[in-house]
Amino acid sequence: MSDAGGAVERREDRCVRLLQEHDRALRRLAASYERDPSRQQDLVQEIWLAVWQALARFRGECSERTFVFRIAYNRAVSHVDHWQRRRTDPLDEDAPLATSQPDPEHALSTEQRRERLQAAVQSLPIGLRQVVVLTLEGLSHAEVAEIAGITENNVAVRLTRARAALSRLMGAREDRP
Amino acid sequence: MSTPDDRDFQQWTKEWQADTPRDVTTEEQIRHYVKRRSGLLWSFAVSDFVIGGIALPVLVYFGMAARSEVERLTMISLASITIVAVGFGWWNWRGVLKSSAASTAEYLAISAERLRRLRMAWRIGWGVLTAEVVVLSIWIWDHLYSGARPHDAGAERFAWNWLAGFTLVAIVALVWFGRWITRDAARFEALRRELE
Repeated sequence: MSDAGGAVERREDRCVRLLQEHDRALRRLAASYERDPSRQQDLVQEIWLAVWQALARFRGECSERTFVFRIAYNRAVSHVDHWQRRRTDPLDEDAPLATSQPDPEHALSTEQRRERLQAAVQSLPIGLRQVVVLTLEGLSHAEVAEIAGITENNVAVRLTRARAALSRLMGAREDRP
Repeated sequence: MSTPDDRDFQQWTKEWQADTPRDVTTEEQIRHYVKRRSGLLWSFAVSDFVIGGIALPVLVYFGMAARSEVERLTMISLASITIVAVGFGWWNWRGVLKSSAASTAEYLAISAERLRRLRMAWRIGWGVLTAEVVVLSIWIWDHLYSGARPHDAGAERFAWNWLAGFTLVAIVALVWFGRWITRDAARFEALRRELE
């Protein structure tokens, strides 16, 4: 096999491996930016296509996870911007938003709590949502800062505000020590 | 030591990462596809009427105020083309603007019919453009070279450049529209195949 063929094959293998490792996370990320299931799927496909294209230029400047999430983050922002310019906010349709006065948490099943969390994240302003989604995916402040192109301090500030908003939306106790 | 707030967030992180959004079925995709296209077709239909509604009175006014027979005929011709285009739009979009159906088969039928109508609209669009360019060329020719009124080189350049620019923009729009229909047809065909 030629070198060029080998390089293409390696890129394919790498893309498949990244897909296996991060597909669930990217689907969750897409769901937090897009409520319409069909457009959600389109967004995930767009992200993977962008990852595939960008892999040719990726030289390990950052971790693969940061690389994949940075692309996903940029695509998601473009997606929201695109649909907002069409005046159909992807998060304004169909599914209900989180309520600020939920039922007692102990009465909720795990599935219901997940749905409530998803809805609460979806209802956050985009600046907070970006930071909280990446943090919920387990990325460090430094990684979030690198992906979002903001300082770590800014990440911490946004995350504090996002957590406060989530606590309110999730019905957690407001009076924290 | 972690605070209750931290513990909440840790719990949410655990629940968040345990979640996997379910796959969207092809039937759902078809339904969403039909709904999205309904909005687009409505915007086409409304645009036809709005543009026609604005253009017709203007053309009639210019026709009445025309200073020559050629100019009057030009305005009548453009008004006729507008009436035909709006009438065709009204006829072409009939029955395919609805966004819901009782079954997946009906969704598929609506989508296939919409694609057929979009292709027809695209072909008629070329016809309308050709007719407009012919009429406008005759009008500009008469205006500049009939000898009824003197003209300078600037006016001549402006008139032909304007027609060339208008034609170019319309051609680009029609080519883009044609490619969009092709892509949309491929997307729909992929969904249809998945259901077979």
